[in-house]
Amino acid sequence: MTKADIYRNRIELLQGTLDMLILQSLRWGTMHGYGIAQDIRSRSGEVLQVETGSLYPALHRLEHQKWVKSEWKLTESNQRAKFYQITALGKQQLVADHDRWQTMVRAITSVMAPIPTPKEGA
Amino acid sequence: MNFLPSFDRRKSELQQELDAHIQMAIADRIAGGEDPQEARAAALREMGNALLIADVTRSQWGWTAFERLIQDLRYAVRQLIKTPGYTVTAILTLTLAIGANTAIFNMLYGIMLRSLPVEHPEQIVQLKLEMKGPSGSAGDPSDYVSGKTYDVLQQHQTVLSGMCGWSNWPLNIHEASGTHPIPTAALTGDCFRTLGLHAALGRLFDERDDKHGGGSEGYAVVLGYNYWRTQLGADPAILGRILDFQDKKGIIVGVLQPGFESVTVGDRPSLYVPSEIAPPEDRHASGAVNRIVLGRLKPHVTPAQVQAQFDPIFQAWQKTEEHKTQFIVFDENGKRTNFSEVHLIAAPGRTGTSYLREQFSRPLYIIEALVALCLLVACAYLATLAGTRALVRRREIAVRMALGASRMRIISQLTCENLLVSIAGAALGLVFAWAGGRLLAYMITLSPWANGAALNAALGGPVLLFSIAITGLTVLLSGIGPAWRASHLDPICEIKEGDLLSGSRRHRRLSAWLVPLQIGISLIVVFVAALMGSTVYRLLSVNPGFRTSGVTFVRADFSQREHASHSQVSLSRSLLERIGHAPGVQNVSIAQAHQFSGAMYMRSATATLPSGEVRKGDMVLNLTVAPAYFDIMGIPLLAGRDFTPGDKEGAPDVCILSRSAAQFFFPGQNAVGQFIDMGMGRKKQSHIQVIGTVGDTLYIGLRGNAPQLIYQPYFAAPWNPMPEFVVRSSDTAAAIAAVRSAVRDLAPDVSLDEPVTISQGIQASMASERLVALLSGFFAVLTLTLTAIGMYGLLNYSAVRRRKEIGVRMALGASRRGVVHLILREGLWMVVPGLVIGAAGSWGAARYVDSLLYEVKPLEPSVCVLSLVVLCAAALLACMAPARRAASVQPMEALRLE
Repeated sequence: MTKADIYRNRIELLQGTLDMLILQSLRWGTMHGYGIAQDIRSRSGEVLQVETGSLYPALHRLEHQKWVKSEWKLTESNQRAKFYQITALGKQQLVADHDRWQTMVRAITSVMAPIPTPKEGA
Repeated sequence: MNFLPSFDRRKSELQQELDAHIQMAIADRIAGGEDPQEARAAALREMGNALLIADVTRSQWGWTAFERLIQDLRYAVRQLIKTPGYTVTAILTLTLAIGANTAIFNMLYGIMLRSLPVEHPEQIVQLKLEMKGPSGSAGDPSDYVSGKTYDVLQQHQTVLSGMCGWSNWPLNIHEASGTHPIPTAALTGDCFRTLGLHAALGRLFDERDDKHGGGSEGYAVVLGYNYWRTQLGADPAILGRILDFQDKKGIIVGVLQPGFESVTVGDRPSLYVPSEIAPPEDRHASGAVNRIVLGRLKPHVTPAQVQAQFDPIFQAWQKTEEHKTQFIVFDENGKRTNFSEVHLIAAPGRTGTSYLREQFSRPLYIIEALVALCLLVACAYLATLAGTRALVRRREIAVRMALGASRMRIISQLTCENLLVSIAGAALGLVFAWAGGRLLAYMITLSPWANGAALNAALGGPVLLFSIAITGLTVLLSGIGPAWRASHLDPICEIKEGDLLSGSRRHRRLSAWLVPLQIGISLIVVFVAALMGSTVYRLLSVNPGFRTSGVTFVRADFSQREHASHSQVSLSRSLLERIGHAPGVQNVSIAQAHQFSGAMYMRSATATLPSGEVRKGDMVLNLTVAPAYFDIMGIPLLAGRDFTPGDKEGAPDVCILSRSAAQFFFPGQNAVGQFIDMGMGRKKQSHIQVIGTVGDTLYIGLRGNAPQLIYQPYFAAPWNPMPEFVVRSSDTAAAIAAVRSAVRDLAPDVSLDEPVTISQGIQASMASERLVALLSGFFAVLTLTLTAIGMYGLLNYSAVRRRKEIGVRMALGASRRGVVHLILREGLWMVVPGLVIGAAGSWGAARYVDSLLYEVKPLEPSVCVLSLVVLCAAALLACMAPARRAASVQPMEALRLE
C-alpha cells in the first residue's frame, strides 16, 4: 500500500503534462501504449522517458474521461495490442491543455529569462 | 468466486495489454541487435513491478473500494464457513428476531398506519360522533352516523368537494345453486368520485344511479376486483348480467379497480351497490346509526373548518328532531352509559376506519415493544458472540495490523461477517414474517368484531424498508461495536505475549453491561408473558354460566318471508322437528342471538311489588328463545318451568328471568308467578307472568358480571326474521349438515350464515388476550434462551481462560466446591444488575399492559416471584456446565500446559 502511494505521487506530478503529451501523440492516428511511449521518447530527443507505471494509469484515466477510446487490433508484426484513438472531446481538451501550457511556458520564460550567465570562476 | 464477470474481463484485458507492451519492447530490443535473453530481462526491468502497475491502473477505474469490499466479503464467507456452529446460531437468531419484528410491524402497519388506496388520502376527513355524558366524553368517538345525518349534512355543507356514506348491507343472492349471503357495501352515489376510484372494467355508479328503485333493469352493481377475479374467473362478458337479490334486482355495470376494497380495514365486499337499495326506513332514518361518512376537503380547507361548519348544522337539526335519538354505549364489562350531549367532529380519514384498531392497537403495540426488546437481546447476544470471536482472533488481527492493515480495514473486515449474517438472517426473516404474518392475521380475525375480515398479510414497501432499517441497526449494534473494540489493540504487545490472558480485563468490561442488559430485558418479557398467561388462565376458568362446547349456532335469514308470519311458525317448527331427528343431533332450539356475538336486544322493564314499590330497569337485555334452549345451553332452571310449545301468539304472555334479574325486580321474594311490564309506547307489553328463573350467564364478554336477562318465548314474540338455530350435537359437522339439509329441503330460499360453535365464540371473546399471551410466551422463551446461551458462552469462555488460575488455586488447596462458587459468583455479578434493570422495566411494562389484565394485579406477587424464579433457574442452568468444567480442572495438567 505504501509503495502504491509512491507511484501515485509520481503520476500526480506528471499528470497534467503527461495527459497532454499522450493526447498530442495520438493526434496523428491510433497507437498502442508502447508506441505512445516510444513516440514521446523519440520526439523529445530521448529526454522524456515515460514510465510504464505512469503511462497505463494515465491511458485508463483518459479513457475513463472519454478523451480517448480503445480497440484491440494487430500490429504490423502481428502482435495483438490495445490501440488508443483520440476522441472529439479529447481534441478539445488538447487545445485547452496546449493553450494553458503555452501560457505557462511564456510566464515561466519571462520570469527566468533575465538571468545573467554566471562568470566562470566567480 | 466470480462476483462480477465484466470486472474480471477487464482485469484480464489489462493483463494482456501489459503483456503486449513487454512483447513489443522485447521485439524492439532484439531488432536493435540485443541478445533475446538480455532483451527480455532489460524490458522487464524497464517495466518494473507489473502487478503494481496493474493495481494502480485499476484504481483509475474508480473500483478500488468495490474490489476491497469483494475481498472482504470473500474473506468473511471463508471465516463463516470455517465456523458453521456460530454461523447457524447467529443466522437463526436473526431470522427469528428480524422475522418477528417484521411480521408484527406488518400487522401494525396494516391495521393502524396504512393509507387508504385512494387519490390523495390526506384530503379525506371522516365525520364521527363524539359523545359527552355527565362524566365527560366516552372513549373514542363513534365511527358511525345515521343516514339521516348524512342527508342533512350533505344538503347544507360547502367545505367538502364530495361526501361518501358507506355502510355494510349484506344481501342474499339467489342463484341456481341456492340462496346465500354475499358481503356487500351500500354506497351513496358520490362515493366513488369523492374517493377518486376508477373502474377496471365498465363503469362505476354515480349519483344518478343512487335512487330508490334503481334503474329500469335494477340497481347498478359494481363488482369487487378480487371477487371478479377469483369467483367469476375475470369474465369480461359479465357486464349487463342481472343479479337476483330475491325482492330486488341488480345489474352489473362495472368492476372496481384492483387494490381498493373498503374504507374499513379488513373488509372485503364482493359487491358495491347504491345506498338506496336499503329501504327508506334504514337509508333515511335517524335511528339507524350504521354509516361511515367520509368527505374530501376542498383546497385550503382544514378539518377544523369542516367541524366548525358541520357541528352547528348537526346541533340545529338535532333540536328539530321529534324523537331524540338516545346514545347509549356499553363497554366490554357490560357497563352502560347514557349520553346527553353529542357532537359531530371531523377527523383525518387518511387510514380509513377499523373495528380492529380499537381492540388490537394496544395488544399490537405491546407485542411490537416485546419483539423490539427481543431484537435488542438478539443484538446483545450477537455482539457478545462477535466480541468473543474477535478476541480469539486477536493474534491474527495483530499480525495483519503489523503488516500494515489500517484500522478501518480491520473493522470493515470484521463487520463484513456481521453484515453477511444479518443479510442472511433478514432474508430468512422475511420468509418467517410472511408465514408468521398469516398466522397472526388468522388469530386477529378470530375476534368477534372481525367477522369475515380478511387482513392483508402481504409484505408491502414500507414494511420492507422497516426490516432493512432494523437489519442495519442490527449490524450497527452487533457488529461495528465489537469490531471497533477488537481493532483497538497494540500489535507488538499482542504478538509478543500471544496469550489469551492479556485480553481478559477488556473482555470483562464488554460483558459487564451486555449480559445484565439481556437478563434485564428477559425479565421484562418473561414478566409480561406471565401476566398475560395468568390472565388467559383466569379467563379460561371463568364459568360463563352455560355449556362451553358441543353447541353450534347457525343463523338463518327468513326476511324474504317477513309478511307471512303465520306460516313461519309452522315452518320453524317443522325445521326444528327435522333437525332434531337428524343423526348426531341431540336437541335443537332457536334463539334470537348468542352470547359474545356482539348482538344485543334491550328493552325497559318494570315490576310492581305487592308492597306497591316499583322496580324499573331502564335497558334490560332481552332474548327470545324457543323451548329446550336452557337444556341445550346447559343453563340451570332454578325455579318454575321452561317454555313449552304452548307459549305462542295468543297465549298469555310469559317470561323467564335470569337469577340476577329476578333478584333485581323481586328482591327477597319468589319471582315465579309475579308479573312485569316491558317496553314503552306502542310496543308496550304489560302483565307478563314470570314462569321461571334460570342461572346467570355472561353475555357481552368474559369480563365483568352477568347482566340481568329476560327471556321470552320465541314463538310468542313478534316475528324475528333472523333467528339462530341452536344445535346440541356430538360433533359440529353433524349439526351443520342437519341444519343445511333441513333448510335445503323445506325452505330453499332461506340463506344460512357461516356456523359458529360455542367454543369458537368463547375463544374469540378473548382473542386479544390470547394473542398477547401466546406471542409474549414465545418471545419470553426466545429471549430467555438467547440470554442463557449468551451467559453460558461467556462463563464457559471465562472458565477456559482462567484454567491456569484455577489450577494454581486448586494446587494451593482450593476445593472443587470453592471453584464452583468462583464461577457462580462471576455469574451472579451478571444476574444481580440484570434483575435490577429488569425490575425497573417490568414495573413500567406492568402499567402499560394493565388494561388487558383480568383478575391479575399489574404487580401480582405470585407473578413477580414466578418470573424471578424462571429467570434465576435459567441463569443457574447457564452457570452449571461452566462451573462443572472449571471444577474438573486437573491442577497438574493445567499448570503443565504453560
